[in-house]
Amino acid sequence: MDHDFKTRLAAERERVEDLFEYEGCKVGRGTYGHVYKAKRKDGKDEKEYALKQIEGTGISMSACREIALLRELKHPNVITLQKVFLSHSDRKVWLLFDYAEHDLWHIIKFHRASKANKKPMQLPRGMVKSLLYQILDGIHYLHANWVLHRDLVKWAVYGFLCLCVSADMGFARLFNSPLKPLADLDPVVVTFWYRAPELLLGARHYTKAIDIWAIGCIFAELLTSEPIFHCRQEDIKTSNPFHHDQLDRIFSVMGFPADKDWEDIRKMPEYPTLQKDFRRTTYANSSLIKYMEKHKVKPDSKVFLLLQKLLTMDPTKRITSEQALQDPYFLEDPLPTSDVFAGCQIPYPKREFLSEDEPEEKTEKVTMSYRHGLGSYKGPDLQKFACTKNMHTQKSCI
Amino acid sequence: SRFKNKLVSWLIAVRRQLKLSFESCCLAVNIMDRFLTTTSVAADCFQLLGVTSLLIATKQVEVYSPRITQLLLLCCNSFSREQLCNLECLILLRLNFRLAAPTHAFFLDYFTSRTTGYQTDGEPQKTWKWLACKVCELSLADYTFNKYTPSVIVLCAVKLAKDLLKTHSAQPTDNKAAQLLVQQCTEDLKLLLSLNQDAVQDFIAPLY
Repeated sequence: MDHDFKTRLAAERERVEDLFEYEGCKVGRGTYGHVYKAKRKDGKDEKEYALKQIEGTGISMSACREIALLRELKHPNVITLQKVFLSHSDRKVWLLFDYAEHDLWHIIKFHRASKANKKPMQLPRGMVKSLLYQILDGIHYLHANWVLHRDLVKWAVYGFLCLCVSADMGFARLFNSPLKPLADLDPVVVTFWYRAPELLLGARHYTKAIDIWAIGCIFAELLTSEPIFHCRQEDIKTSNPFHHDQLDRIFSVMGFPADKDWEDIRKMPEYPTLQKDFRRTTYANSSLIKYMEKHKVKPDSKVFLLLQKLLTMDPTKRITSEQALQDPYFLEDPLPTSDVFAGCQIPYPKREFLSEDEPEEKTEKVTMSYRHGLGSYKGPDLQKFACTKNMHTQKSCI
Repeated sequence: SRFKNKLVSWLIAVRRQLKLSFESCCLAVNIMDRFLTTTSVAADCFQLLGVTSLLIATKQVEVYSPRITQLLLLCCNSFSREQLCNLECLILLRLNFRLAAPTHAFFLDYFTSRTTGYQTDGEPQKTWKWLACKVCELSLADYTFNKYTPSVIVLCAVKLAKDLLKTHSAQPTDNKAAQLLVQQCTEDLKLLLSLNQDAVQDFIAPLY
């Protein structure tokens, strides 16, 4: 490269610290890196942004994939990547997103805490519905484009004017129909409590149905303010998928699946262990109906029926995101709104700034979240962006 | 274009050496082509551009990407690590991180799975798939084929391979315009193949 080119390049290079004010505004920290709340320095707009500094230097494989994937995604419920800065001097990668004051994790945590402090606060039912609709809409867009999320709890939700969605796509991976066994890459895929039974029984392919189960768990939690499959977590780093306590918890809520309800359970790699360790009779008295009745959700309500379809043990019988969006629950009053906080007060505190050095509390995984612009609500059939490779195929093979 | 031909042929050899997938190779060429439309590159930096594109492509495609030192060694250490990293940043910024592209490798897999399904990976199928892959590889190195989309090239390559090996007769398409395009592309591929006979000699020499 000649000298002229170099100087020209240096001149057009934008530096993140010149454009944005973010010092002392750290709002999140995790294995992925640091997140700051930022504002434009030149005052072109007063919007708040989230700046994510990716851990490590240089363009790592996961960073490269995350950015390339985010670049392809465009949906009101999926986070939009505004800009990428590559810092020349220290080789850091910065990603610029819209800022979200509240996220799903935030909301869940708030209600868990209020329940633990004996001052339970129910989420408004309308808000639950809007949240669920937006999550499903976003996931449907991703699924339609064969993007699997793999860590739903890190989903971020923004309210106020619009919507929700996701962060930490570093592990999401585009794939073509015959899957690569993803379990080989990362033995611990979905956060434990939200993990589908087939994963716990050793399923090696990550499927859309696994995301749907996790959404079902979140839905139940939004309704009851407590994690439905709560379980002690100790050996999270284990590479063995079989997790006795977690399965025990699932069965004691749902009951043990009858043979006809899940025929392929016999084919699961961990089925022999299951037979050895579990007795059907132990769970004879449990069912989702009873569990939800305890939380005052009637078994004939539309809420319950949809929850039941999301939390179906057999992954092949589990509802898809597309079907779920058509569910009668969403046609019943109150209709889902594009602003999840429509007409109610926001009780959740704003994000606090973290000091530069103080280490984040381990259990309190702060999830970053972002806000998407003022996108208006779009129906579920607007998923026609030619986006991933698979979409290209469909188009060019007709 | 002579440079490109040389470079891509070299990249294909590198890909063999590092045991990378065909997909990485296709994506690397795609990245390189798109970058060249935004920025002009001096001839002596061409090789660097090649390995850097390959590095970016492998980050997208492979489970493990090759070490930078390994790549530099393949260029006989004519470039420094810093140069490579700088160029990587520049490419990514110029392409705006748009790295997902429809590749030959993808369509090759797609068409093979559609005609036979993944289970029946028989000997004749392997042969024509190999030949089709070879034809696609050759087409990557030639600017003539930039006017066709990867799906068309692969479709024609598969057809040509099958014809040459006399395994199946391909079904004709109904669409007139598509037919013409396919015909033209097939002719171009045939010409390419006859110019590069030595590359595929083992397979089709007896047929000519």
